[in-house]
Amino acid sequence: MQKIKTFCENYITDEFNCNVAKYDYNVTNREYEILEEKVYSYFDDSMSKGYGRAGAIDKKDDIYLKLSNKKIKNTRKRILFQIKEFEDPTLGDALKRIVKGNLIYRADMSYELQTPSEFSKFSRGYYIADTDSGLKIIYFKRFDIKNGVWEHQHDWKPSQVLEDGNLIEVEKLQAPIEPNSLKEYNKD
Amino acid sequence: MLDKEYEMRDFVKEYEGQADHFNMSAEVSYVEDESIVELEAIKAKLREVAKDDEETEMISDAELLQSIQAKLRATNQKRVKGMKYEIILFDNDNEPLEIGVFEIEEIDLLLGT
Repeated sequence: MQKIKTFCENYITDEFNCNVAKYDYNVTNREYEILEEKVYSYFDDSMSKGYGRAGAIDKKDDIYLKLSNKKIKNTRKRILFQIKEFEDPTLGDALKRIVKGNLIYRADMSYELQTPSEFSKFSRGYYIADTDSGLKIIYFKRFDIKNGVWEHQHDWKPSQVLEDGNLIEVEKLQAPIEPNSLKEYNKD
Repeated sequence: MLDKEYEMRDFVKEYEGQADHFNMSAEVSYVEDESIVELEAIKAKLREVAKDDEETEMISDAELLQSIQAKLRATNQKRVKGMKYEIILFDNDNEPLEIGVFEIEEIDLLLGT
């Protein structure tokens, strides 16, 4: 479990650095690409790439400058709430070809942006597994705060974690404040 | 693509009760040279989704290229290379609250981008 925790902590730090740099006018596109590639290295190649800068700093009008500074100020490191270890998960056909062994882990984390609502709440559950390229994030689910349920990353079943499997161990790291997240946190 | 749409939805939902409206712009980039087809990238994607190695090997390069070219001939649509979405949230005084820039870059399996 310790190596999964370290993997998650490193991912959280590298993702934060990348998210801050995305809107920072002092960071060149080349410098950003290096940070972006570092974040991508935590994901299996089959995962869609979502950290592109996409010209986020190309405009320099007053509104854009103001919002970019705000974005940097509001960007946060995700909170790692808990890690669960599962045995014998049911995986979609495409994921079966990627995952080695019969264990997967789910790391429940917060959102990466401070917004007007409570920050200490579940946002994503990242599934981590051993692959031919080492530990990788292979999938994630989003936590629907309103209904207190997990929803799939996408609708394409071959790449989904269909069932988590048998729960082997839970490592609790920090309890969320938001009520539905706390209920989910206390479930196991 | 759907994953990114969910991400944009989540971004807007985070400001429920604070944001009054938002502006969203979308930029599409297209493949510049229609004659270029990245077979290796498509095959790598197929290997991820195929049920087994045998199924992947059933498709030869020539067959794949033929299939892509047939699809290209059957449409006048341009081949999409990527999408960029920009969302700016505003409060009810029309003051900008937050910005989100979202990018999609995916291999187009049907048309062979």
